[in-house]
Amino acid sequence: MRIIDKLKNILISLIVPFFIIVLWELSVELAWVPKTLIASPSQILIDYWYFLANGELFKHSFISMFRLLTGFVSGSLLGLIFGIGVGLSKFMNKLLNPLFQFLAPIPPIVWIPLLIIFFGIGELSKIVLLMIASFFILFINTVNGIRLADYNLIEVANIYKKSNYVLITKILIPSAFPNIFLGLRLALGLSWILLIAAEVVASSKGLGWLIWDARNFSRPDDMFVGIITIGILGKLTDQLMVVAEKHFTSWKIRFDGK
Amino acid sequence: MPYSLKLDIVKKSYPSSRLPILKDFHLDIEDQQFVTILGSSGCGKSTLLRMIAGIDNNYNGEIWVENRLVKSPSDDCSIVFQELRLFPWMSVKENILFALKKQKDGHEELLRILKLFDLEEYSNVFPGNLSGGMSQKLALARALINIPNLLLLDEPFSSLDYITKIRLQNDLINDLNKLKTTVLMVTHDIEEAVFVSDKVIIVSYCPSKVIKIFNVDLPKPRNRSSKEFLIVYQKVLDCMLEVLHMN
Repeated sequence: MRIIDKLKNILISLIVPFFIIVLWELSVELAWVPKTLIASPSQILIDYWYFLANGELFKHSFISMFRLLTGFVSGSLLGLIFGIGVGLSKFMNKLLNPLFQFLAPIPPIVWIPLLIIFFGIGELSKIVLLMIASFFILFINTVNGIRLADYNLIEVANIYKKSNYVLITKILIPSAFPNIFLGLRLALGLSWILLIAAEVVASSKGLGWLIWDARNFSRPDDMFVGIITIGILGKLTDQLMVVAEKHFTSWKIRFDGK
Repeated sequence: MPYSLKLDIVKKSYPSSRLPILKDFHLDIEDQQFVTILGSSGCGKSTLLRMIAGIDNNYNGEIWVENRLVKSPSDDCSIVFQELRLFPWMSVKENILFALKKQKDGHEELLRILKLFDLEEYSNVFPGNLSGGMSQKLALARALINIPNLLLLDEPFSSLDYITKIRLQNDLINDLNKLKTTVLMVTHDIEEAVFVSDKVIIVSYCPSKVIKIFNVDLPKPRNRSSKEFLIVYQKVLDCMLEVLHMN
């Protein structure tokens, strides 16, 4: 894509946010909505700068990102490993799949009280919550990705008498990549939701806590600082995943819409 | 001439069907010959190739490739499937190297086969970005990288347009002449069979068995509009129609 086309796309994506911000600013400044309920974009901008300058925003963002990445990465990795094992082995499938299929539909949020009892309100309870959520999403997507591998291609590996190692690394895992990356993006999205929920329920720092604390002190501008930061960091982490997905599945011909 | 392939199939049935798909199917193919089996769709041609390739062993009878009784896939026999079965996540180069017996020192073999099939420019391209003709060439290149004694072709030109098909048929004959490989192709295209083959074998429909063998003694490259070509074509067509009436 040419640079001019990229700029055009960015401009198109900014049209709707621009009008929302203008309308928002006007509605607060002209007192259509009370300032105690919602802060204007200009107020939020000033507050954002204040949070950046005193290092508070960095501190809360860092702790949230640490919890998110530790829980998401470790849970995803375990989900991937167990998914590959269950996807490849009939025995592992019989041994583990019924249990995991029973546990997977349980909404991860119900684990919060139990995790607090076990691990307290420290870091571990939040990290384990994200691990549980990421694990099941990756596990299901990896098993499905492997089981949906084209049998015709497996037969080609058999014809050329390839070892199980080659079959797994060159055929089964690459063919499961689209499913694995779908799982990673879903797990990342869910990890953000659960992280903020966990920080609201049991925490004294982090972006979720920042928003909840601002709500307690009726500071809508502070709340928006937290919300916008989550949006920015969420978009950045998702974008990283998109880049990785495009790299590992660059062979796929994509439909970009009409 | 030594035999490259010997088929003595007593019976082959599918588990889902009572009727056999192949019955009393006997055939000897000489070394370095290009032999085509002609038959209508569903007569078990592809099944026969799978059996020869050693990926379907559920039948009564024996198949010999050179002096080896076929029980499993072997390096001396390669197959190009109708649906090509290229790995979409591997480049042209990687698809070919996947089939290479010895992974080390494969550079020379790779260059040789890329050059033979005019694929040098595309070595880093993914199959999804290749035309139908180039994909077909890639499937052939992968099957021939180890220079097998026997090459099995399952309707290799069926998905191509007419012009690409004749160009590829000419190329294939030239390439196979250089490699001295015995070829068994299955198709339902009479013109294709007469153009490329030394022998054309007509088989019946369910249960499939050899009905007639035509020796095509025309010099290669053949002229599709020559009188001699058209005479052979007509003979084969008449035989095919007879087989159809028999069914």
